[in-house]
Amino acid sequence: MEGGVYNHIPILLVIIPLISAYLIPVLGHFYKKHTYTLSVLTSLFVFLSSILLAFIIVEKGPISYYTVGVEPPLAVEVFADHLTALMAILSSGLTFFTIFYSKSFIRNKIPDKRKVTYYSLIHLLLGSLMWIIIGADIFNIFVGIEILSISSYTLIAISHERDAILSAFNYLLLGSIGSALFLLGIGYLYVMTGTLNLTDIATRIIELEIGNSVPILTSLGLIVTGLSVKSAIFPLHFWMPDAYSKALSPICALSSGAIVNAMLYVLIRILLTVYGIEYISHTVPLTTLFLWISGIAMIIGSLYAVFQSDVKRMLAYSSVSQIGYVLLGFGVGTHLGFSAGFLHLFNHAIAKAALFFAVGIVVYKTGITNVRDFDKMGSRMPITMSLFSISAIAMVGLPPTNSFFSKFLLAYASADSGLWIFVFVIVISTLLTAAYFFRLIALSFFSSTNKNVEKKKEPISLIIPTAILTIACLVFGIGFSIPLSLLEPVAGLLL
Amino acid sequence: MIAKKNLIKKFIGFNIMESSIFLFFIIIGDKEGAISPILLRNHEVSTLEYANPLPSVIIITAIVITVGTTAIAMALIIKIYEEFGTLNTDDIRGLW
Repeated sequence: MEGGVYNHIPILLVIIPLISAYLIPVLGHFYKKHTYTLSVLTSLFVFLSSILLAFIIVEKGPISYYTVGVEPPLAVEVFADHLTALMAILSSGLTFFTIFYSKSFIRNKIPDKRKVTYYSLIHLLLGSLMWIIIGADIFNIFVGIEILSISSYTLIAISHERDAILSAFNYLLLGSIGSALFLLGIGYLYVMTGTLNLTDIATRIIELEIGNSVPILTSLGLIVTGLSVKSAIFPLHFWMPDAYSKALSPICALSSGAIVNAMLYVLIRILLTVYGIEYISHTVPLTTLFLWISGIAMIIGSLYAVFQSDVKRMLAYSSVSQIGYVLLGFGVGTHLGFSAGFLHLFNHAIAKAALFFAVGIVVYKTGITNVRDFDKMGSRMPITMSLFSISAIAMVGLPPTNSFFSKFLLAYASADSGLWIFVFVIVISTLLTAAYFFRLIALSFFSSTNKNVEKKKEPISLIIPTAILTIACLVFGIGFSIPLSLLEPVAGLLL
Repeated sequence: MIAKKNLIKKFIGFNIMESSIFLFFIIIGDKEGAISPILLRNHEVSTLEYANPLPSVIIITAIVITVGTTAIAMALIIKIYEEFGTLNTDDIRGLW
């Protein structure tokens, strides 16, 4: 094995949080106070290891690792390339900040006994996120997705609002149907190819010339539908606004930043590795379908967001439209589109997490979620609302924030492929995004009502993670070449 | 799953659906006249005469996962009953 000890990093990213998830309840039984320390340390370790992984991959190329003594395809394979490293950094970073943010946020919201469970579940979530990101074996990805879903159903249900249980149950019903469809799709693939390894399935589909057979087509449909539910792709997004408006803000940030994006990543990875771009663009016009779905999602999602009165629902519908952008990049089907789509995924995750964190501070101090009550919020909580405004501008995509470059690249990629109509769709969607964010900003800073407002003390432990993510929006606006340099080698390989 | 109004019945519907997928997987592994894949000592290994054990292994994992999902669902249903006093979806706003 080349690379020696560094080859073990991908599997450690999975094992460490999973072990920690089971250690936290044990530790919490004896010393309740130390559970938070252990959670922060573990997630920081995973975050730093993923950055290290990125450096190693840039230097030495992709890492393939297998667990039992036999070589793949017989063994369970773990595979890490540039895109994997980018997704791992994004997910573990967001989880780290969420845990950091959670400490003050949940202090008065949930009883001490539940806090241990809360941190344990977040670690289960982190472990399974890493699991599905590095997995190269379709059944292992399924198991990872299921652990991820089970922990996220529970985390959404942990809330002080009583309707949270209902939205968690709705999410559970829809999510389990999605997983069942995905499992059935795996079954059809296994019947035809007799293997579960992603690359091996791809070679056998080509060798046996079964690309046009009914089971393979069925499996494609089942896998796409199953994972679309989980990644809230437009027509199957119903669970998301309900779940986000009721769940705790850090969980919303984690869910919209990491979970949904990881699911989307898994869907695109499976489509490109197993079926290949030729198959999904020519044999089955899936990319064309994605193009239109994304166009509709971008406009309808933003329109819905304009008409929401609840801030968290507004952000959830905004996520629906931003996922449309990522799909558009994939649907264009060129190297540039792919890179631009994933760059937007990265940028959107950071900005949306910062927005949810900022809204979380407002909810924490005042309990306000209705858009109308944000009147004069800029005078009441100046730092929070400034951070909110910067991330909102990043979401809209004004230069020099990060989304400007990804949106620009997306527009360029679609124009490059002759899809001019999508340039207009991007512009309209951006204008709608600006409409609902600037309405809030105007209301909170430039309101003309002469309401007497008292300044609230903003907790510094909640401000720090929000500020770091907001600054990251600006940093990646100037240094957008950093994520892009991780995307381009993969775009060349996968497409 | 769609027609029933009671939450528990809805979930029973889901469990039936999952079971059918499990059975589908089990069928993949079986073949006519195959014996169970147990390796005896001093026994010649011939893959032709064994049933494929991999689908069964996959399904035992999937069963465990479904048990987990069902447990979560039942826990949520208990909570819903405690909070709202009913399990009928018509009586609770916000449930499909």
